[in-house]
Amino acid sequence: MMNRQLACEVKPHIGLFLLTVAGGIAGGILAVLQANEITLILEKTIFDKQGLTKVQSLFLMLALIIFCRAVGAGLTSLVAHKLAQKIKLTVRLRLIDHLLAISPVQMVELEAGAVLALVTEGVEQVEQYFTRYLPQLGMAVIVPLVILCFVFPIDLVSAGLLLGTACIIPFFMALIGHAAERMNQTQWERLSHLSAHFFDIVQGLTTLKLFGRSKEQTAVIDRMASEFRVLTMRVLRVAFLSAFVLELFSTIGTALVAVTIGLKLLYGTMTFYQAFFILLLAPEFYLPLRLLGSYFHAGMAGTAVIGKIQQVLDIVPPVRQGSTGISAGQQIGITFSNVEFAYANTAVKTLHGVTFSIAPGEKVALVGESGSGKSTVAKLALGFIKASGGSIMVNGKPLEEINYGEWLTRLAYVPQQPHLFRGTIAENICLGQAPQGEMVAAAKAAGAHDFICALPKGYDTVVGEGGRMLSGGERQRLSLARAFLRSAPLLILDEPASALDPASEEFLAHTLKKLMEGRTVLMIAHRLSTVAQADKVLFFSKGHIVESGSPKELLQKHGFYAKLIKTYRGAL
Amino acid sequence: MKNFIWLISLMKAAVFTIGMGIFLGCLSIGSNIGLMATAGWLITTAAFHPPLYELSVAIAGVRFFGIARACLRYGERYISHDATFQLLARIRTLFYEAIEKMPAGKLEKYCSGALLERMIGDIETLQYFFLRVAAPLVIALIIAIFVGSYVYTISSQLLFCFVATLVIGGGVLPFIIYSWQQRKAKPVNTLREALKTELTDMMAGSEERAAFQLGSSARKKTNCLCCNLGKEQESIAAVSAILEGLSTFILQFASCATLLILISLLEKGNITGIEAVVIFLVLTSSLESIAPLFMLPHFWQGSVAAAGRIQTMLAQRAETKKAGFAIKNYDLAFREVSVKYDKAELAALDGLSFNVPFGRKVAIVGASGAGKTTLAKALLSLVSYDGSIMLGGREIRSYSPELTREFISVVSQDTYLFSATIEENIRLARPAATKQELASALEAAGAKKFISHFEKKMETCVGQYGRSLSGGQRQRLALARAHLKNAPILILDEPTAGLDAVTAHAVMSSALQSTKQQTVLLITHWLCDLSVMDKIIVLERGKIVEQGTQEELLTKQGSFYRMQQIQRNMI
Repeated sequence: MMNRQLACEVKPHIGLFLLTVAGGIAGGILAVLQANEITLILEKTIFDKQGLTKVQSLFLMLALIIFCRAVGAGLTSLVAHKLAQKIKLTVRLRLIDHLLAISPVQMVELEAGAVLALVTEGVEQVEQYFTRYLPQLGMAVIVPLVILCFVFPIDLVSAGLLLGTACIIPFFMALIGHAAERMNQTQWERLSHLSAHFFDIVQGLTTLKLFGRSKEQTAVIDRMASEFRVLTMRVLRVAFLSAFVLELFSTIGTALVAVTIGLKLLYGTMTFYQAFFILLLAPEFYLPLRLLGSYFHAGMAGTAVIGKIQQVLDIVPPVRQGSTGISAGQQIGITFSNVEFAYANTAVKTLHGVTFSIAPGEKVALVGESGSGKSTVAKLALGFIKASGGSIMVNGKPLEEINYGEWLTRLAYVPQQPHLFRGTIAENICLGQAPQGEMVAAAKAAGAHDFICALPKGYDTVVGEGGRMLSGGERQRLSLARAFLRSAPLLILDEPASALDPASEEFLAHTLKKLMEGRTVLMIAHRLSTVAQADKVLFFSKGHIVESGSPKELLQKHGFYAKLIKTYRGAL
Repeated sequence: MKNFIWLISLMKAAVFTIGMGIFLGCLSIGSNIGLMATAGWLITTAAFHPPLYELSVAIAGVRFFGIARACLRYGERYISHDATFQLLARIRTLFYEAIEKMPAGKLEKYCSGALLERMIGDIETLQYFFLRVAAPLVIALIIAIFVGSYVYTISSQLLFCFVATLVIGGGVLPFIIYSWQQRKAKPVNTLREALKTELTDMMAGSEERAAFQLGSSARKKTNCLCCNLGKEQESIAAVSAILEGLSTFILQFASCATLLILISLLEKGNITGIEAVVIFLVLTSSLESIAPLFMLPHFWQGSVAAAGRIQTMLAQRAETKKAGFAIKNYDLAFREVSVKYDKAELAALDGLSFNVPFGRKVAIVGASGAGKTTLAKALLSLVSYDGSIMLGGREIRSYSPELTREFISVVSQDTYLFSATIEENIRLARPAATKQELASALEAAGAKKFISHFEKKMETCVGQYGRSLSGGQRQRLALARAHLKNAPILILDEPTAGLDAVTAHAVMSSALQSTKQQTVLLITHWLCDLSVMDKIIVLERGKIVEQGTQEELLTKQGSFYRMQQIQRNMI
């Protein structure tokens, strides 16, 4: 029942956890003592006909016990919350660290919304698991045993009845739970299907309206809504059974004990004190089990969340063990020999033995249809993914032997769709690395300075999530400014595939020329004007390089490249 | 309060079932009281060694209550959930009816994924009002009245003690906890939102973060937020702990005080020993009814807020109904049409005037944000506009929106496909269409070939949002819908956006070639060969900057020419 990974998270805080359980047990013992005092008071006053003054000390004792119980309950809750906070923090930090460690390619495979919900709301669910469910699990075993210890010496039969019913409860609950789960699976599927259908109709309402079909759907929705109810009730009918069993055995247990001790009392084999004490203990005996039942949901939710967290943590981040350095001033040449790559979960290789080399200072353009493997080459060079075959050499040394951090400082990357982090434009250009003074020069070089200055707050304008919206062209220019500031010997450029606004397009060709000067360039090109600046063009098709040469040669060759351009022109 | 009344009025629909649920709930708590009281009576009486037959009723009673309690509880849960889901079904239908009546322009705002999900979540939340607010409150009140009136016959001191416990334990304390948590919830939510923003940024910018080595600064920021969040929550936890202790104290202290009062009554001879035991057990076990009240403010707030949001939704102005007219002809005329969106600084459309006689093919081109799509929306009455748009010599505002939409087909860039078969998705345009009509529509849209490759042909399910189809295939199905509808006016609103050049070219040619005797408005930023168009209108910032045939515009070497040059540079 208990999730092992989740239990692992408790390990460093085992002291707090034990304290929580101990608090619960202490509460149980105090409840027994309280029952004892109450019984004593009743016995003394009813049977021994003693007055209020005689039982004063008992009342004082009772008040003291109650006070201790209240303080204990408060402290236990405090400790449980403290424990939950510690665990939540640990889990959150571990998740975030892991998200930072995995590569961007692995990140894309994750569903961002789900991960976000997991780190924020999901981790909160874990709290209920640790503060309610888990301690209750311990108490449900220990507290009834403690109470049995008191009942056992007084009356064997009552103790047996309590123990027997308590053992039957988990058995029946498991049995029903198992059967219910099997029965419910199909119902849940139909339920989720139904809710998806509802969602589908409402989301497509504009389409329905445009075709004048929205009114007739009212009947469908009405029917679905009632079907939803019928199905839900069918699920609940079974789901409530386990609570029923819990309730039934605990009340029947109490009733049987009451009758048994009543009869014993009648025949004089038991005193009022003993009988009433047991009667008061019976509900206390079942209470931890009943509470466990009501926290069961929280426990399940917590387990589900931990399962999801584990899924994220199971993604193995790329190992970076390289230690070779690259001296700062050095030009960079790259050689791919027979490089192969296949993404996880796909049968088809994205790259089939790709071989090419980029000499220091050379500019190479990758061209081809989308999905032909161009961006995979860029990602390999960036170290976001690792080749599954062949080798990538940088200045004669294998890429994986080079210190990864150092490698990254030697390259500037311009992605196809640049991301703007939430922050000012200045922060977005510098990315926390370069001195501010050179920023304006970089922005000017990228053709971004003018539009930035036209903004009311200039370089201090907040962009990104919740900030000012910038057009695709403007984002592109900021991304280029980042690259200028980087002054790295290698430029990896993924050009935007769709046309930008006319002003940005005009800038682009001009800016790129400047940016490429004196650098080794690996670019994925989508513009003829960009390709024209390359020394060499590699034409990709289905993971192979099918053609290579200078732009002019390829045009004259009437091969793939020339054909592609013709098709595109034909499309115009 | 208005929301509260609305929720109560909804409950009228299932008043019998709800009443039954509450009745069973009271009986279930009653049988627990009965169980303890009878058991107490049994034991105390037995201690005086009466003959066995005097106890037989009590013995039967104890057993009866023991079994009844569980059965009644099951019945209560079942029936009250059934009542709740009856109400939810009613609200779901109301909700659909309301959005169905809403002007189409507003739909986009309400039926986008996230908001819709929240709305549906809100409806689900309402179940807590019925299950966790209304029912427990009524049950607790009924139990309090019954037990209270019983206690009153014995002693007013006892009644006072009982009522005080209920008020403090079931009302004041939960309220204090709730209001304190509410006050603290604000900083927690702010921090959580900040964490969300930071994480979104971190995930969306993962490439830049990796390439520019921004990991450690991202870590620093998020870790700091996590720690602060933890601290804020800890201070909530501390108060919750104090209050938990306090509530334990109040409930247990109440039982202690009850005992004290009972003993003093016993001493005075007002009650017998047996009565003292029974009353003590009745009072302590009746406190069970106030346990659900602890979470009541929480569910109250949540469900009333949800009810408020749903109600604003239901109260939206319905699309106005207008009488239908016979349309004389399908000539379109735009006169000084302007559109300005709520928060925008600039007008999306700025005084546009042009004519489209029936059967003409007109392209409207321009960069993104030039106002092309707004133009189509205005024509479909999806946005409100100034100036006038005339269809058949009559302002389209005077037609009912349903009528205008009958004459216009649209193929837009975001085609919505329902999670159903291909046939069902296309038939939507004309449910009565024959197989032959369907086939010819698919043929004309160039969809026949790819469908024939599917194993189940027309019966193929397209998946949620048509995800199992490629972008080009989805657009071809949209074209097929338009063909089947066969309206006199066809709007092609960026039908090829998001497709690669080769597919875009193919889809566009099917779209343009197969148009019959109908008016075509093609809205596009993809400047393909537009020589088949009778007129090209070039928009820039909501204004017409150029118009003419493709030939005229190319010779002019103006805006259109420049845009096409950029396009020619792309591969």
